[in-house]
Amino acid sequence: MRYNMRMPEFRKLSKLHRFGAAISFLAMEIFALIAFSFGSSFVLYGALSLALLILLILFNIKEIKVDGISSIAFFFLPLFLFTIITAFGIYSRSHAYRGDYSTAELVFIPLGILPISFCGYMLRIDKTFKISTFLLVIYSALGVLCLINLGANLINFGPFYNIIYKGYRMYYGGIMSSITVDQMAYVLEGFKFIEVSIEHYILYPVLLLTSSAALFFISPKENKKLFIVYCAFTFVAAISLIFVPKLIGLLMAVLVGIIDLVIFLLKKFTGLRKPAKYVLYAGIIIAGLVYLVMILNKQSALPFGNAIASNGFLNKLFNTNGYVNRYNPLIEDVFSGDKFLGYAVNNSVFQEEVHMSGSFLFDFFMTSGVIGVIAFIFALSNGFLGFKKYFLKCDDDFYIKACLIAFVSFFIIYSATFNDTEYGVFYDIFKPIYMTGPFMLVIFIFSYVLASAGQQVEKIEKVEEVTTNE
Amino acid sequence: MNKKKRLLMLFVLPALSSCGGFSLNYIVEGDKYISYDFKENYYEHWDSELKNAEHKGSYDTTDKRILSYDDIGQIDKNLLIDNPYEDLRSYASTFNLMSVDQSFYYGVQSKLFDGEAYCDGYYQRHRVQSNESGFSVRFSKESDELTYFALQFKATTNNQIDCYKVGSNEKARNDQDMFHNSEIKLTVTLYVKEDAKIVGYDFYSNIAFDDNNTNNGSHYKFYAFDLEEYSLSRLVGFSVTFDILSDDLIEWNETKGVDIDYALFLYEVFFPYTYWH
Repeated sequence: MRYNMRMPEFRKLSKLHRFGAAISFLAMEIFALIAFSFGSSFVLYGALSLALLILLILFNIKEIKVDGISSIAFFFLPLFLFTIITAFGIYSRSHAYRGDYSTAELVFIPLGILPISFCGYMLRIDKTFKISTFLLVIYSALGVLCLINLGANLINFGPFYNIIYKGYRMYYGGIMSSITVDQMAYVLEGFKFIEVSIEHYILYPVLLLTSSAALFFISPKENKKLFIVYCAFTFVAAISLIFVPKLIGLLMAVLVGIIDLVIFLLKKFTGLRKPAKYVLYAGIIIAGLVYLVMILNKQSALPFGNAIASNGFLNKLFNTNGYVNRYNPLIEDVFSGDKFLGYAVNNSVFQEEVHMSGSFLFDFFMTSGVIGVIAFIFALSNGFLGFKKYFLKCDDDFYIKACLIAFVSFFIIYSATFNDTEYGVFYDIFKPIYMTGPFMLVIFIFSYVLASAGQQVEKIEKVEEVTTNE
Repeated sequence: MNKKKRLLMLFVLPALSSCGGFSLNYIVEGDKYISYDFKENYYEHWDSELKNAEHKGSYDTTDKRILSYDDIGQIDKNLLIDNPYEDLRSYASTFNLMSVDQSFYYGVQSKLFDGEAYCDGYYQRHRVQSNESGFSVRFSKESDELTYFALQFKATTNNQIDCYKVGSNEKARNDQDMFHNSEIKLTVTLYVKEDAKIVGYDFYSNIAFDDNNTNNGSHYKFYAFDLEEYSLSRLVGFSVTFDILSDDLIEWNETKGVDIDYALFLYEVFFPYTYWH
């Protein structure tokens, strides 16, 4: 008998296995909805992720293995710590007190993010799930969203409005927009179109543009249909950025191009992998040092800041340019007082509120505290280590690997640089990066990649065992 | 259709859909209407259809109007139809057009529909400033039958000009020196759709301002008139124009060779109990 289990309840559950394909289909639907960023409805994504995980456990309980779970443990556990601190830390509670968050939104920070981080593993062991279909689904959803957003911008402003109407402002609700028309765009938020910052608009087309990584690896002769589909994704992303032209969109598109090219070169020329590894390590060390200096520079208790301020070049680099000025007000507060678990927003009308900087590397000090930041960076590092194994050893098609790497890498770089948490121009919208659809997709991808890498290691160990026995 | 044509369509479709440019009606260049220069802030937009509309009737509302000085924000609630408020701030926050329909949110004219019936400290950012030739507002929706019209506004002169005190050869140095009396003929034209045509109905009234001051927040006027007897419906827009009948500050300074600008500051327009579709 196929489902011959010792425990009777397992036997009952295993009968559900026949619905595996249906659950896989449901998972695709949920991912499509999350990628479509339907009204940025975080509670909806969270609830759906939780429901999906419950169903996946029910349908695949037989397949769950301790070894498999351990492959995502170093990703899941720090993420668990991060989400718990974020949801119930002083920052989120103070925002809930002000009415920016509902209780459901707070509860679904752990209840939404953690299930989706486990879904990656569950879907990897589900034999009916195909990652290639997952990619098609999320890129299709992003494509539809991008086309709708593009249409809204063309209908409301016309093509190239960022260039034509530079310096113009819009009146809405009796007040003039704080940013000029060239800095704003229309996006679909729930059931209506709203004006948002251009930084938020470009996120979706550039995420879609990561599909271009596949074009380096799909042969148009061997797999013509798939090649055309990925060309179409890239085309939609490109026109979304061309008709709403902005320097930041161009920069992000170039970044995706560089990521694509690096992946292609690493695949094509294996000899480049070793030097690339050293370049990557050097890059990480330099970025880490800059990050550390930025933090230490603004700690008034340390003499570090004075030394930087007295040097002309360093002063320009760390204190007096527009870019670091976004982060510095936030960093100044990080270690003052008891802020290891985050700190509250300023409720006083007499003091200026410290706004999010647009980089999770600094914003998470406020939302999740020092412990939260360390936990998240630890989870992220584990995720990227999993990507290394996945890239080198896993048997998924290379175009899939390329797309997943490009998608995640772009999103992480975007969230560390230009993410806009208060993107509504006239509407009061407040969405930290961990409450967005793309973030949940990235968490899922990390989990899937780690589970895949773990599975591959298991396979190799088994092969080695068999070889030794022989 | 061959492949080239299909590819071309992908470019052409977005280009075609760009014909709308709806939001372009709501954008303004730079610091237009929020300048510190009084003369730069006149809102003079006229919708071409409203400007060319036939004027079908002209009615004097002097005998039927409600006109109150509203320096302390009190209105006689019994004079207005189904009005539960004596406090104009509460009245404005309830009957403002933005709370009725989303379509009133867009454009410079949205300042007239936001429920802020008084200057809120942002001066020119908050008011719509009109000269004698006036302005028009075109709605994107049409109304059902109108009940009454109300307008909260004040009249003022440009205090940035170095002018003479009334009846004196001395220059005005402070607000009190610029106190003056004036009278205007205010015309509110309501544009309604009759069959496929837009026609205008003019409602005018002479309004006097005594001891008017340019600079302080006093001397708001709350002006309202009943529309039920005219059975007007399908309102698509309105315009506000005025003529200066007399102004002792302007007249005295003209004799001294100084031109003074006269303006209406409009804060809120109401069409209470009116449905829009």
